[in-house]
Amino acid sequence: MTDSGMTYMVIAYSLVFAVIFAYTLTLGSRMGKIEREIEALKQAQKK
Amino acid sequence: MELRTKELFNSMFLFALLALIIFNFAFAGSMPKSVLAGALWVAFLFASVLGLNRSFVKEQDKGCLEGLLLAPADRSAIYFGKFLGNLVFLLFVEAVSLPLVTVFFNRTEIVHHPLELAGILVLGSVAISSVGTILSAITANTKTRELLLPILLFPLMIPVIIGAVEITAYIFEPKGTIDQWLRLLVVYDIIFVLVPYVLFDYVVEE
Amino acid sequence: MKVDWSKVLSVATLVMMLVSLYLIFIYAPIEKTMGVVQKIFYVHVSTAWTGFLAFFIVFVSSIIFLRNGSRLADIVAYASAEIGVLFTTLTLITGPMWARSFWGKWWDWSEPRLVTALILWFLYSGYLILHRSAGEDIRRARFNAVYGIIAFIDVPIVFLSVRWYRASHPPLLVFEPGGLDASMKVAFFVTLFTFTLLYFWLLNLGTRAGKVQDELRTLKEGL
Repeated sequence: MTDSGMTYMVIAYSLVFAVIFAYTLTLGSRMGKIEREIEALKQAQKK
Repeated sequence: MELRTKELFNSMFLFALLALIIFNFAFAGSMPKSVLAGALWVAFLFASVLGLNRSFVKEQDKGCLEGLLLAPADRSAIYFGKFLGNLVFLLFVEAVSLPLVTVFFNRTEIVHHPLELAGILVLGSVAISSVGTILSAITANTKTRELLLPILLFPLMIPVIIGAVEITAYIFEPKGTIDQWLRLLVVYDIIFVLVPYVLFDYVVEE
Repeated sequence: MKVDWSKVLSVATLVMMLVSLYLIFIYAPIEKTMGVVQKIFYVHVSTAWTGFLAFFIVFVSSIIFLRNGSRLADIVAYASAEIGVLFTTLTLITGPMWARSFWGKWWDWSEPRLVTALILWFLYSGYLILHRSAGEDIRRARFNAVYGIIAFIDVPIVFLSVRWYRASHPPLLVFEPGGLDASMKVAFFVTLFTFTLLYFWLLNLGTRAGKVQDELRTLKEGL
C-alpha cells in the first residue's frame, strides 16, 4: 500500500500545484492580451 | 395558444409513458416497488423539462412579457402565475399517466393509497415546478436554452428526487421512517417558491 | 507610505505556501496506520474548503449585485465561480485518490461531503456556462445572480439529503479521520489558511482581469 499510496500522493500534490500554476498563467496571459488590445485601441484613437 | 397547450400536454404525457415503458424493458420486466418509485419520478422530472422549456419562450416571441410588465400588477405575480401554470400542467400529466401505469404494468400498489400518493406528487411537483419556472426565466434568452435548462435543473433537484423517491417507495411498501424526508421536502418547497418570488422583482425592474 | 495590498497578498501567499509545505512534509509525522498517503488529506480538505468559500462569495456577490447593480460585484462573482470550479475539480480528483488508497473504493454515493462536492461542481459549472451565453445584457446578468443565489441555498440541502440517504444505504466508507496528532493539526490549519490566502490572491487576479475586460468593451463600444 505504501508504494501505490506514495504515487497517489505525488500525483495529488503535483496536480494541485500544476493546476493552480496553469490557471494563474492563463489569467495573466488573458489580462496581458486585453491590455495590449486596449493600448492598440488607444493609439488608434489618438490618430 | 390553446392548441399549443394541448400539443404540449400530449407530448409530455406520451414522453412520460414512453420513458416508463423503456424503464420496464431496461429492467427486464422486474421493477421492485422501490425501483418503480424511482422510475416514476425520473419519468415525471424528464417530462417536466419539456413543459418548462416552453413557458417563457412563447412569451418572449410574442412580446407578451413586455406587455405584462407595464401592467400595475406585482411583477413577482408573473413568476407565481407561471409557476402555478407549470405545476398544474405537471400534476395533470402525472394524474393521467398513473392509472395507465397501474394497468399496463399491473402495479396495484399505485392505487392502494391514493391520498398519500397524491400528497407526495404535489410535494415533489411543487419543487420541480418552482425551480423549473425560475430557471426557465433565467435561461429564456440564452442561445442553448433547451439544453441549459435540464443542466441547471437536475443538480438542484437531487435532494427532491432522493426525498420523493424515498417517500413514494414508503407509500408502496412501508419500511423505516420518512419523517425527515417529509420535512425536507416541505422546507424545500417553501424556500424554492419564496426565494424566486422575492428575487424575481429584482430581475425584471429596469 | 501607500501600501500595495496586492503585492502584500502575493508575497504572503507565497511565503505561507512554503511554510505549509514544510509543515506538511517535514514537521507533521507520517501517520502510523495509513502511511504517507494520509498527507493527501491536507490538500484535499483545503481545496474543498476553498471551493466552498469561493461559492459562498459567489452567493454574497450575487446578492450585492442584485441589490445595487454594482458591476464590481458581478465581476467578483464570475471570478470566484471560476476559482470555485477549479478547486472543486481538484477536490474531486484528490478525494477518490484518498478513498481508493484507504478503503479500496473510488467513490461512495453515501458520503455527503464528496457527493456535495460533485453537485457543487455541476451547479457552478452551470453558472459559468450561463454567464457565457448571457452576454453583457444587464437583465441576463441579474438572472445569473439569481441562479448563483439559488444554487448556494441548495448546497446545505444537498448535504443533508445525502446524510439522511446514508441512513438507509449503509456506507462503504467511513470518513472520520480519527484524532489528529497535535503537529498534524498545526499543519492542517496552517494549510487551510494558506489556501484561503491563495483564494483571495486568485480572486484579486480574476477581478482585475474582469475589470480590464470591461474597460476593453467600453472602449470598443465607444468607437
